Amino acid sequence: MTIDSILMQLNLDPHSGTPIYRQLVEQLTHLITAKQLKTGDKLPSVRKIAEQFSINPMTISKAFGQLESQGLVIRERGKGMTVAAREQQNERDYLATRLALIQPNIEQLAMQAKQLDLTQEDILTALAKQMSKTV
Amino acid sequence: MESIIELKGASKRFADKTVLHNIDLNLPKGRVIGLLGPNGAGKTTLMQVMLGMLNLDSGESKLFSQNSWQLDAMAKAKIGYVPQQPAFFEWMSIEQSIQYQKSFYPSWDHNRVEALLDMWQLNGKEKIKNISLGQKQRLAIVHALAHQPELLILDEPVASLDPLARREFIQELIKLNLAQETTILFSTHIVSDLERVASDVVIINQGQLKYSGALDVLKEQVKKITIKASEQMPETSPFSSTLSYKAQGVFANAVVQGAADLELDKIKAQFNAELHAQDLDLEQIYMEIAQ
Repeated sequence: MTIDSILMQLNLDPHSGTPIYRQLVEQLTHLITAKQLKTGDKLPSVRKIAEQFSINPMTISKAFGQLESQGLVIRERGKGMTVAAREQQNERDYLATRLALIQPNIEQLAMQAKQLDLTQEDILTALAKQMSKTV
Repeated sequence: MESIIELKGASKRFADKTVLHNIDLNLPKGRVIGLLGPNGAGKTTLMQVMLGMLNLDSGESKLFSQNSWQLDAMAKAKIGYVPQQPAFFEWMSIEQSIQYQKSFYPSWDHNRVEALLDMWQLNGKEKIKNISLGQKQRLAIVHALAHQPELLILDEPVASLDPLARREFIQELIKLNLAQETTILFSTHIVSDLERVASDVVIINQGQLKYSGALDVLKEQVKKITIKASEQMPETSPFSSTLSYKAQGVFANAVVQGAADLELDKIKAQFNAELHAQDLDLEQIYMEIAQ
């Protein structure tokens, strides 16, 4: 994926209750785990994202720092941030990362299920049915 | 972390009105800091105290590790300040005002001045008395940026700019912060601009400091909690750091700051309740804190 197309995929909302750095971590994690971003792909620079979205550069550095500590990207001298090789993320962490992405939706589903007085069984049945359709 | 501005127990009164009340504040170098507060909260006074334009009644204020009230010429040359209502010699042309300003400073970035004048469509030949308030504010910003200050203090810089000019101005601040690690402090009551550009935020109300720290941390700390219990909820908040709380039978809404999961679990068990935590945007948080 080219830098320009990465920038086009990002959708940062400064006015959301979710801090901007977390939005950026979530969206880039999404692109990486969904394999839209491949090993060795270069991320846009801090400066580029800061100027494009008119947001504070420190916020972006913070997001890059988190992605780096999660092993999703590596900092290469003179090249900036690139997507890490898949082997560098162990399988368990990879599952956890993907589950974390869907966790907010699960929480919302669970809450709405309670409000509507639906049982765990009702939801699991409906979910299984939906998932067999989407495959 | 290196502080560029330090206040300890800073208090200021005008006649019998306390404008700043016992403010402790450390502003780190290299950050973009938004100063937020309703009209009359003391934002301008606070900035003027930092800059040594007003003396404190008690407490202390330091800038570049020097007493604000006794800054030397070296320190002053490192500051750029744009007051809420910039004053010019109205009979000068834009070009003349820039030449005049330049004569006071040892360093001057001619290219930056030209680029800013060009970007903001300020015509050097135009007389200042003939330009609009928004254009005057932009000119004041050009003046403040031209000597490459290490610290830029802006009092309501975007108040009279239109949305497009505001965005251009914010981009300029970001470039400045990136290029020279300029520390920028700006006051505003327009929350949306601050939310975009600031890494840190200071919130004051009625002369009192309400929050000072990273914007991300503030957003992560403050949560709105919706509670549905199986028994009557108490009239006063069961949470330790409550910003607001309202109970109605088995239902309650609370806005809390920094409640740990442990505390939420305890309340959940105590009232046999379902708790739902929700993020708030800065405007909502500001409303809660400034109340």
